Amino acid sequence: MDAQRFLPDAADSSASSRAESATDRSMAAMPAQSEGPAGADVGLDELRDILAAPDRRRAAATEARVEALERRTADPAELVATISPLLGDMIRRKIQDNREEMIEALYPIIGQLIGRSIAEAIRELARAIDARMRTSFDPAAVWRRLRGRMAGIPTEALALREVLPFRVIEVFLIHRETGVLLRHLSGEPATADQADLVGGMLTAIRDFAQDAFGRGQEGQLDEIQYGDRRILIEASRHAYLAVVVEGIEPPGFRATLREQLLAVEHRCAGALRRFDGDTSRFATVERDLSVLLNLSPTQAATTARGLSAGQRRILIGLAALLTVCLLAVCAGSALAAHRLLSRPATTITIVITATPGPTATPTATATPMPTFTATPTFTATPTATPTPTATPTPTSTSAPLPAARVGQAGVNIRSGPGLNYPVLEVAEAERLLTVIGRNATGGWWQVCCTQAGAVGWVASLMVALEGDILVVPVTDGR
Amino acid sequence: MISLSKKVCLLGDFAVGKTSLVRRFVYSLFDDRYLSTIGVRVSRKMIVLPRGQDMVELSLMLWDLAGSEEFNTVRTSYLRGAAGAILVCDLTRTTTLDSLPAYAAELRQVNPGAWLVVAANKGDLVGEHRLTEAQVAQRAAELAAPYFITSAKTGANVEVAFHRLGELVVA
Repeated sequence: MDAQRFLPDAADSSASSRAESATDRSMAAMPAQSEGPAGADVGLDELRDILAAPDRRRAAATEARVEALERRTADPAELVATISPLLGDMIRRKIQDNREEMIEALYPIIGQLIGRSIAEAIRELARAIDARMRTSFDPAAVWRRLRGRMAGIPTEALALREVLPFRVIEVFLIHRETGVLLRHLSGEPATADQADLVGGMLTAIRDFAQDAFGRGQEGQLDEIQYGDRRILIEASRHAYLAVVVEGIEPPGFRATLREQLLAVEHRCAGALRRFDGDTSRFATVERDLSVLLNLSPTQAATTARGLSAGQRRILIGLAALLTVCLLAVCAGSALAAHRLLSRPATTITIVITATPGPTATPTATATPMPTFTATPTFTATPTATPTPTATPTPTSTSAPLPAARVGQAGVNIRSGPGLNYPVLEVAEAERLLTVIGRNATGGWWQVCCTQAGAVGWVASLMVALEGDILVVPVTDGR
Repeated sequence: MISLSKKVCLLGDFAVGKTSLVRRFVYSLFDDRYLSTIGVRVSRKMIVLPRGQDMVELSLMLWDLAGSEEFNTVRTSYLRGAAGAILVCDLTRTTTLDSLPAYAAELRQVNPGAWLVVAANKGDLVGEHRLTEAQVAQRAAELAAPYFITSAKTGANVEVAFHRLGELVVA
């Protein structure tokens, strides 16, 4: 029997050589084993020991390794020290190879954590604002409180809204039909030389959205969001504004956009209608658009309510003037009273000359009306005798009302400013309608009249304006 | 110097070389993926031209439209407001020349006054041509458009074609 055939591959050569020498010895002992049964058993045991020795050694080594592993896994510190470097490398590689997958996997945990953290931060902010609101005597705070009461909004919410960040980053004025950039304003000068391409692509995206999703509808793409930034789009008949903003726009910002765009349409009506590619004609609107770029949240909200900074200054000036006048009257009265009281007692005859005020007829005459005469020792005669100079003249200088010319597609005249109002009549192409009002956003114009003589509303996008829209009042249609 | 911006389109069948013309000869901020997503990519080609006593700095806003059937429904809106177009055909494929009248009709339906220039591309592949210059000339004459044998690979006549379109749209 060849004992070496049963020997497994030895892990080391020394074990192998030891096994070989043992085998040699056992082979040499073979004749002795044949001498009796007891001797044969001993020989077999020895042979078994010799053959099993490598397996036993291997088993012992494996056992030792398993024990060592058990020791390491039983000790958390050692386990962490062992796995950490591998885990770090693994995550780094995974993020590098497939970022989206990692984000999706971690979102349920991280998203929840972030949500909690934000909620806690907002609660803290609200608490801080609340405390400030209760203790502040700032006129702005008083005004805010008043506004909140009037609007039924908690004062804290108003204050919070005012401190939320909002920034207009870029303003694009784009010709609606061609997609050519008419004007671009930016707080980031690096983007200026690519603005025309961005304008073109924005137009393509608008067209794509309209064709793909808006067939048969009057809607249009009015917002694109990318990360923290959004592109707010406001369109009029010939142009549209695309405004890149960061943060949450204040209430009424859309209306401000609309107003600025209408002002541009009004100012450059001819150049827009017959656009020949010359963008220099729109240089004059840059000042209007820069208002948007420099708009702070509070300014936007105020502008939206129709009170410009200039108007506010005038109001403040008038209030100050009124205060000064009141103070002067009070001081004058006090001085006069003081003088009268400080004189010796005399009998005073006062002759009052009454002069009639201005009347509607330019031939008004003054008629002196002496009323009473006391014992005359001292006579005080008021000398101020106002002369009637008022010449009533007609002051009607109101501008003519604008007209809306119906486009080739015709237009629905509705009973109110919105698609939800019923159609009163379909006005045919080229028909002229007198514009007598507009809604707050400028999207709908109140026109006169239908064939039946009724007042109705048309969408401003569907008609061409002839005249100045700003001369007609904003009305809600009721 | 007067500055003008005009919208022009690149029209032609799939793989005639429209995008190659754009890639090598105009400035583009956006990559080719836009063509397969929304079916259009806008690029810019600046050229300077004389107009009377003045010089005109013309910014051609090139709308490179995907030459694929799947975008047919949106192509019309992309054509709106175009002052002109370069109609591109491939000299190695006869069908690409036959398609040009349809593109021209589509463009002129939206913009009746639009100018056209025909660019017969791949002029460098002389041994593979299936179209003769005479055929191209005849088709261009039918479309009332000048024509150029171009090569996006060598650049032959590409600048000339853009320049000619520029002259037409500012005239």
